[in-house]
Amino acid sequence: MKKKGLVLFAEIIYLFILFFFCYTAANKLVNIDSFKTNLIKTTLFTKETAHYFSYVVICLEILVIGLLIFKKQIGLFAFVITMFIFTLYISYLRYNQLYEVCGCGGILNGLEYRYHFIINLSLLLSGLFCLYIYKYEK
Amino acid sequence: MKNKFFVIVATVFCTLFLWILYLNFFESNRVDYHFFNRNFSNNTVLVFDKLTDKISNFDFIDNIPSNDSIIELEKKVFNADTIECKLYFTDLDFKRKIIRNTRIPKNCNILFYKKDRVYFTKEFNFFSCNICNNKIEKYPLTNLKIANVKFLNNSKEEMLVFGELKEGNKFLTGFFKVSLLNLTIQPIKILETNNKNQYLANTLKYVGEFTYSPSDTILSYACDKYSRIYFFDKTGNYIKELITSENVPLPTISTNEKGDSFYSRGGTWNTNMVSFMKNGFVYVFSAREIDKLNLILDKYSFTDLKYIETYKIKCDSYNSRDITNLFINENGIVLSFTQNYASFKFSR
Repeated sequence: MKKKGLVLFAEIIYLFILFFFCYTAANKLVNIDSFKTNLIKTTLFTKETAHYFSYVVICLEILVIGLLIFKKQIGLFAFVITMFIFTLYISYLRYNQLYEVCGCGGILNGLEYRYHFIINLSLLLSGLFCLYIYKYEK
Repeated sequence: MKNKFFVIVATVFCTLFLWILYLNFFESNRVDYHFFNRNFSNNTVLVFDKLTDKISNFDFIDNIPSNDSIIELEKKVFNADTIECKLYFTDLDFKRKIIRNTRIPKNCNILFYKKDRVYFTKEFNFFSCNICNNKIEKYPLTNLKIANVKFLNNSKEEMLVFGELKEGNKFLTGFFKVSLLNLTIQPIKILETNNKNQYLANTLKYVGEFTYSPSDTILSYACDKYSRIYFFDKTGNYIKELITSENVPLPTISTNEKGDSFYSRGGTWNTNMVSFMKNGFVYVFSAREIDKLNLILDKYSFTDLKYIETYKIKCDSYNSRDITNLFINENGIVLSFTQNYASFKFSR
């Protein structure tokens, strides 16, 4: 019974993760200029590198979405790796005082660092939890 | 084999997690906040008088610079080409209030008000609009792009402007004296000479405001994001510049693919919010202080430009970063914040 509940909970989290990545990827794609501008503002990217990097990030997100839909476990693994990279990136920005507001897209835009970090960490842990459940409990 | 894979993945995840923790608990030693050791004084030069609400009930109100009054601009109705506005005028004691309705062109940047005329730029051209009859006059200052204006206190329709002048193949950024009567432009202090148009980037770099201190008859221009204050006499001639002690460098400007300019992160700091002069001393409201519960007022000598001392001034819960404008007369100053004004008298 407990195991069933955990699997159901993991399923809800999985759907949320899928929705969340679809949402942020769509927002980045719709507001691509604003996303590029946010990358340039960090001073880590030039105009040219920000242009290519923005498309690489969106493609990566779409790839993760695809994997999440068709290869759940691999998708969750890719999601966790991606969230690690994103969290490392915003942490690096904070470390060098380059973080101002979030530029991830949609409702996340304009988010203060601590909230952004909490959201990233929650998603990361949720992804790890789902991965564990699907791998060992299901 | 499976165990080996698990160990590798767990090691990578733990390493990444430790890196994230490190980056969140520590700070790069390359980060410079541009604070300096202040010599705090228990005396005061400003005595808090009162807080007054903004006259307009609108949430976002622009103050229009002028030589003698506090003016609020309330944008009411947006038409196809114009905006119907209300102008609220008051003196520095908030005793006399006048409200006037007018129309201004859409997408204009209002720079100054003088004698029934609002001076503004639109698409880099300089105009005035008579608020009584809404008649607009364009000034043919074709080679000059104006960012900031202060009319000199004389009858010659002269003003000191900050902007960029195209002279031959060169673009000069700095201060210019402009006569609206005979349309002459005289360079006063050039800060940069460039081979291409740098107007947008330079207006961001040198953004600031003019203040005329009547007791010392000195006109100053304090940069908001660069530790420089430029001084001019009442006729607009350049005197000298002060480098304030926090020594914030010029902000770094980035441009995106569309050509929009903006401040780069990690290379831009708010510094001198507003400044004024009194009895031969320069007073600067500085944003470069960790204290966020007081206004921080630094005092410098105008003669040798040396830092003297700092005053902490309690004013509600405002700090220097909240200041949007300063108005000054012989008796005191008025600081403008988003929602209200704080009046201070000079201590004797």
